[in-house]
Amino acid sequence: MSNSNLFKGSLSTIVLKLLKEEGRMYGYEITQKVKDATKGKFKITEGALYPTLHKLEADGILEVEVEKVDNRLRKYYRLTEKGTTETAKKISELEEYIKTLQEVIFLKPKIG
Amino acid sequence: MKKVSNNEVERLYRFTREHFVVYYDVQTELVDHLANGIENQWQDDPGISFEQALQKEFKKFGVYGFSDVVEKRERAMEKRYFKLILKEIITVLTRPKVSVGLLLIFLLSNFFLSLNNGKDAYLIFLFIVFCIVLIIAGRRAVIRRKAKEGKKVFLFETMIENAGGYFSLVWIPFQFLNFMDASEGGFINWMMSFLIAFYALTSYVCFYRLPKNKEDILKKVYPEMKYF
Repeated sequence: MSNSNLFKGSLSTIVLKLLKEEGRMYGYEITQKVKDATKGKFKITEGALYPTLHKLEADGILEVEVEKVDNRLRKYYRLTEKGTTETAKKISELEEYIKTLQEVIFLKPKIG
Repeated sequence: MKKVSNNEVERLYRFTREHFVVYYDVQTELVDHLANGIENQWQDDPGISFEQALQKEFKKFGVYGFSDVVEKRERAMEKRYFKLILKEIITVLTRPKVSVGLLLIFLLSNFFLSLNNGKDAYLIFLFIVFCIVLIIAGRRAVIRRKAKEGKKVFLFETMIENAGGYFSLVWIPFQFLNFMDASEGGFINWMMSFLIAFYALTSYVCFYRLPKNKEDILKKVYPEMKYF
């Protein structure tokens, strides 16, 4: 996406939505999933993803579980109960925002 | 598919340490991320060397490297630490022993501050605060040495040992000396007594309660600890 600022504001909502659908995911998996789903138009940078995940974890929206995969430890994130409610709220806020934005952008001037 | 070997995982841990990631919990998450990225590159181009792939993956973190991730992680953990302090304060305040003790500290402080040599009493309190500064400095040195020796240092463990941001608050009582010089007793004494009681409460939580329960707290914060 050419203007990453537009994307930045919705990063946490995208992450929450993905976790709601997938159940649990790890950091790298999230970056790849977003890249694949948007055919490369959206690209989550590593420097933005982890701070978002850590903030959501500190706020009690996400919880973590760790598993040994191959020869290393993998940290999975999943929604908490509070996180599930928060996700629904954030998605409806984003939908409302998109609707309003569309109304503003496609505003037809009144004649007469 | 070619996988990252044990030695290469070790190299990734070293790589994060070389790039100023001191905390083992942050290192672990970054190591898995880098390893996944490298394996993904090997899928597309099996000929690329481990080091080349690593540098390519690291570049994706931008010009500041891992520093942004570490800094934001510290901030998130600080928030969690202060929430924990608040929870502990509420818990201990419901215990009659603690609440009566605090009330006594508050009243005794006010009594001593009201005496003619009230400033001397306050200087004794400042001496205690200074001792706390020394304890924090000592604990910081231990953590630094542990990290230097390559031992596993967890971010939240560091926060508990350093008593979070207590270090920056510790200088406030010293500022109150100026108030003491400028005013005579009354309201300022009550205010300072409150401050002393508040310090006693937070010190009890930060220097006794939390370090005492450190292991249990860390197990909750870091599920990965079961693998050590």
